[in-house]
Amino acid sequence: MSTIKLPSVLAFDRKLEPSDGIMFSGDWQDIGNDKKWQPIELFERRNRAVKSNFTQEVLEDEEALQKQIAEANLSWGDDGSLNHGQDTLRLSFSLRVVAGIQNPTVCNNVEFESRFNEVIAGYVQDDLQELAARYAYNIANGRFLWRNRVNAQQLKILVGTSELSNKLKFNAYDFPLSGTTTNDKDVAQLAQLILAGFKGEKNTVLKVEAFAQLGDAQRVWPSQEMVLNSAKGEKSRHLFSLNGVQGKDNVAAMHCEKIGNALRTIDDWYPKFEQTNKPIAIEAYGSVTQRGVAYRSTRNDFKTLLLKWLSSETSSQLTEQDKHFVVAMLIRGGVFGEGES
Amino acid sequence: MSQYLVLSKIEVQNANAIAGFTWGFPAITQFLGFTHALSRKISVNYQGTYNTEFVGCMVISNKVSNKVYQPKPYADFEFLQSKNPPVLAKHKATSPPIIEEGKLNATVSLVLELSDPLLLTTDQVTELENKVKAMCLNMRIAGGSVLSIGQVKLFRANNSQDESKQLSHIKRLCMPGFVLKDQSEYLKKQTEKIAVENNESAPLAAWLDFSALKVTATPELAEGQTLTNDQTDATWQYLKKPFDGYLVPIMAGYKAIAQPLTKEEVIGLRVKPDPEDQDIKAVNFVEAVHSVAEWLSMHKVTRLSEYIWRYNQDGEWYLCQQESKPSSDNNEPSTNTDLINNLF
Repeated sequence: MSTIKLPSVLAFDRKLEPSDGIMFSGDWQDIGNDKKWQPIELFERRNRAVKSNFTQEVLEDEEALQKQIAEANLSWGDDGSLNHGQDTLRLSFSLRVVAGIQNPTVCNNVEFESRFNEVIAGYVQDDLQELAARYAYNIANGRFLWRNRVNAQQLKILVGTSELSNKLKFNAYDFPLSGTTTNDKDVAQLAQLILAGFKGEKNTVLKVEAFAQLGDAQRVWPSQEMVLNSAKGEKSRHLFSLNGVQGKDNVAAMHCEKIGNALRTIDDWYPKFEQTNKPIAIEAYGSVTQRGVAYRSTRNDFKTLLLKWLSSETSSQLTEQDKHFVVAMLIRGGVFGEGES
Repeated sequence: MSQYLVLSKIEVQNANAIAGFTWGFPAITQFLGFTHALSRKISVNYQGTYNTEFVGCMVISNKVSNKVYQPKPYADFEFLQSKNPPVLAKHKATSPPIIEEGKLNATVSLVLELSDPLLLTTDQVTELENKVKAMCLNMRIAGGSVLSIGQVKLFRANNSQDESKQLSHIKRLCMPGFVLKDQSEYLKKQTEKIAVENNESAPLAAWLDFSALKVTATPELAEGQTLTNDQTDATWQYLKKPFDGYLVPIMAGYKAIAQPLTKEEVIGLRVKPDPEDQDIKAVNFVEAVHSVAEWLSMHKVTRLSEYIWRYNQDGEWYLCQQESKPSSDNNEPSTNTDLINNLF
């Protein structure tokens, strides 16, 4: 088996399974008192705004520009904010860690599967703690709060499981977003819990609560829905909401995909890291849509590295970091069959 | 006598909401698929250690929220979309496509039926329950991830007194909720009724009577008018469903649309080579079969076995069905299939 090829049917399950995050409003001093927190309900905001984006043709024609500036830009969309008199956002979600990284979910090539199983099982046995530590770091630093994290006065993360008698407490500002690892004792303990879940020694379900002190009645940022073909003149901004939270409907929430993306932002092994100094999310081609760049498009993408690793001749060329990246991709999951197209 | 494994209040996230022509709840085939997958992990006939199989399951919906939005009041619901597509080599340069999907979050309870009763001590029962719970947390239900499971409990009844006690225990674990009951009988009756006038499209018309929201117009003639014309006013009224109850259209299984093929005839199968059955027919191309079901409050359940969905394979038909009542005729599978025969 000199040249291993990807099977035509190949897919991996997610192994880090976050739930949708729900947003609550409350006061910073009420952390630890669940009863004081109320779900944030979305409301609609309609503004008579101004236009601020014109084509070059309009900019050159003074008359047309004046005419267009006089027109209002009517906007209509969802919005959400903390209640008046309350200054802190609580985001709650649960995170389940699933075992079985060494088994593809579907694979129609038995040779490939057994080789894959052998190689990855070895890694899971010996080297997985690095990844677990990095996922733990991303829980501790509250990266999953995304825009809600920006310029918060204080940030606190609580992580509980059935095994811990006391919740783990993290001050998120202790863990900068440019980093991925730390020597912190509590983060190491959290990493151990995640590791046990990956290895299948325990059924790890973490309950994560993040608190961000934003200021009185500040706006919060739930996930925005991608709405296809929304008609002109109708609501153009749909935010994600869940129903039936403590008897309330339309409660502001974060997509589980978005939380998952933040948790797997651990890739600082890509070539341009020295220049950017920002870890990126684990993606097959290292793509970062916000920046419009794919950092891993030159022979160090997931498929190339995976095949290199599985082939007995080239597997020694792989660095530790490449292996971490490949397994992190397996934890991310996805469909990787090599079809005709 | 009878033994059931109850998985109560399973929280499922991002499960499939679309099944055949219907949407709103995962298809029964998906729950039976889960049942079978769990069975393969448990049963000695496959990889497990227990001398039994899960052959059917009862589906109870505790809470469902479809991921939809309404652009404006009275508009059609539309599915929320997310950009989590497959990543293929051809997407290296271009942005990947958005695949339209319908998803939902749900809390469901499942009651699995065991083929052979297990004789276990109390400790062994606890061990089985914990094992099943751990397995389920690593599995998917209807394509969705399992976030948590309320309780896993094994029930066993030796006599009728036990059975009623068992029933009330199981009800308590699954309430409040609605259980899905096969009502293909209604579909059959409605088809027969329609077939009197219009034979050709009767099955489809009958199914649409259950699934479509229909309104009818009664003309209001002005004074002195005897014939209706374009300007005549009318009162519009919703048409009732043909039968009472919380009736819904469902996808109930599959029908073969071609001859079975061996694994040599189809390229790229997910079938592992098995030296023992060389001639096995590995693939059959199928289409979805639709039927009618009813959501019934859990407290109305009197006999569990009537509500257990099981697979029935008969020739080209592969259907999910519940045990037919003693009063109805015994060739239920064929009556049901005849119905759907002209549907597609």
